[in-house]
Amino acid sequence: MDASPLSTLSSLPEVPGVAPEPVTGRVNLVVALGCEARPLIRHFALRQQRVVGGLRVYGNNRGLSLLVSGVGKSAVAAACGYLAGLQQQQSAEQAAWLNVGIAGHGRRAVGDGVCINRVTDFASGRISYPPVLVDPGAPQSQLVTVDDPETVYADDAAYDMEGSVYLSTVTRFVTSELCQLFKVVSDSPDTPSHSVTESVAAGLIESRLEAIDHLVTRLNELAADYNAIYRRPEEVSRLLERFRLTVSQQLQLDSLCRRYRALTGSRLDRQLDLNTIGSGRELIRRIEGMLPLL
Amino acid sequence: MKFSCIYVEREVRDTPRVKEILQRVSDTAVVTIERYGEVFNRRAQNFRLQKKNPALILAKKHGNLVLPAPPGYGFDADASFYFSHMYNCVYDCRYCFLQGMYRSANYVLFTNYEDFADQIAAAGQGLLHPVFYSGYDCDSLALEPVSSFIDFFLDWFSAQPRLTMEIRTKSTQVRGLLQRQPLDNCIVAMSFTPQTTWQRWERKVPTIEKRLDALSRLQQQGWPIALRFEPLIYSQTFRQEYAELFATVFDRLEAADLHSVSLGLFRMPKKFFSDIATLYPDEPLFARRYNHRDGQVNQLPEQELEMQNQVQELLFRYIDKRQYYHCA
Repeated sequence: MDASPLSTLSSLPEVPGVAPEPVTGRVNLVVALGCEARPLIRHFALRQQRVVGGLRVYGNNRGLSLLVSGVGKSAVAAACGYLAGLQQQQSAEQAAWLNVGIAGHGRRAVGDGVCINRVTDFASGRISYPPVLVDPGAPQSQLVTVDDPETVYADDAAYDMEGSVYLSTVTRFVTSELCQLFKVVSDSPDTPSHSVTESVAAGLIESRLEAIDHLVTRLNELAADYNAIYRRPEEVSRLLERFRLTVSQQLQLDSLCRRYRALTGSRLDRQLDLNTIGSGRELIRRIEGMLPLL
Repeated sequence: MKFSCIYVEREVRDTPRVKEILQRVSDTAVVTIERYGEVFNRRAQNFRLQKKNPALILAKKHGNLVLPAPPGYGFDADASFYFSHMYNCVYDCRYCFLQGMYRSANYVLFTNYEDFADQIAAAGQGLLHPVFYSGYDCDSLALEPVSSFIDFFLDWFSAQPRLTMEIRTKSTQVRGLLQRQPLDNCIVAMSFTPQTTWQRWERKVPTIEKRLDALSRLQQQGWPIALRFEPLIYSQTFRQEYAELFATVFDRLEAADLHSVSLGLFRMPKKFFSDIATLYPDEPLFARRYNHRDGQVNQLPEQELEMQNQVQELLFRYIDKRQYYHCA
């Protein structure tokens, strides 16, 4: 979000004593402020799953998680790192990520929604290019992430306080195609940021729910495609429970099981008489012999 | 043609050619970059996901733009070279080595055509009949409506009769060629595989029938045309598949007038193969058994021998052996 007199969690209802639930979302929404989260929570029927320190994680049973990170680079780095780490512990599936928030803009009108295709960290000068694989039906824009509230809006760009670090943190965990940013213009040279109240911010996000919903749906499909391709075959886990293998043998086993599936369309473990195999090395040798030529 | 986004290097942003290209795709967002590598070579990219909706990068190529062709690549014993005005291809052929060569599926179009022409002229200096192959790292014609690359080079080669250009393609974008007088030193070389291979592994590639239609029109107009049957990928029914393909192809084209015909086996550097197999763990083509030797991945020797001999024998029913070469 652009820096404005808004607080992170004040507009979210307190839910005391929430028991931690597994957080296994296939799309993670990241917002800085509670007021940005509110319309999303309502629209996607999310409920609170975890409260850790100043972080709140919401989710629904359709694979969507929402993280309220707090304002600024360090807050978003900590929050995204926390959620990514948590999800990696709980599931081998990769999630897609979408940063949603209000932002200042040098040229666009208040209320416009923009998909981000270039992110500049103003302090370091570092530039990143999130691939825009999913077309939200909204125009694209550059984004400049600043450390202090923007008042000049010099470039034809959106201005926020989290985007660059959100991107650099999340792409440590997932491929960049699964990491997108969508901003709703809240302030501009004609409409300074101090006029943006919590209810205005919530209203702006609310006004772009259709585009956000479309992005979430497409990112969900993309993540599902990705996971269907790259997830570890079930039979590998089953065989690893039974045989003790070195790391190198585990990689070999993974590759052999995938190749067998690709060539035959069936699971390899169903063709093996496991009782006749005495060691990991023998298992690998036996499977290699089972691979068809074509 | 649609792109997810267009990245333009600052250095070429205001050149007339880039301005023209941007006018042709005026409904796409444009982002200025310093060097194409910032986007093309960045970390954390997945070629397979990107291929769903690639971006176009307009850039200037520096350094050596024209390189000696790999031994055995071309049809001529004279000196031969290749040049790549573009990285990546609009088609999505599962067997293609480009998937393992680049991290990104975005298209990089190098727009400094004049520098390519200068280096082609320099490379050809003092040589009798040098050949220049286009389409090694891309398809020469497929992006023509956007790039006007061939348009430029046909003009240029028309004034250089001593130099020959091979335009390697699977595209049917031949309107620009048909609107011109044929050039004896510009050969349109179309790649074909059997129908089953096309169906299984050549996404977005025009049908065999459409490609033959384009080639036939070029041949009738007097353009030198060539056939590239590659990659030869072993299957238990390959003999029948190639018999059908050759019957179809030589029914449409005048075999005696063909400039050249080649066969080339499916093979690639081990590193590329390994990266592609990781990218497509569900693809049977990469799950097969191969022969890994000297940094190369080849089909099994007995498969290669059987296929090479039998397809060659089928081919020689239609063409003169002097028209043929084997592409290494």
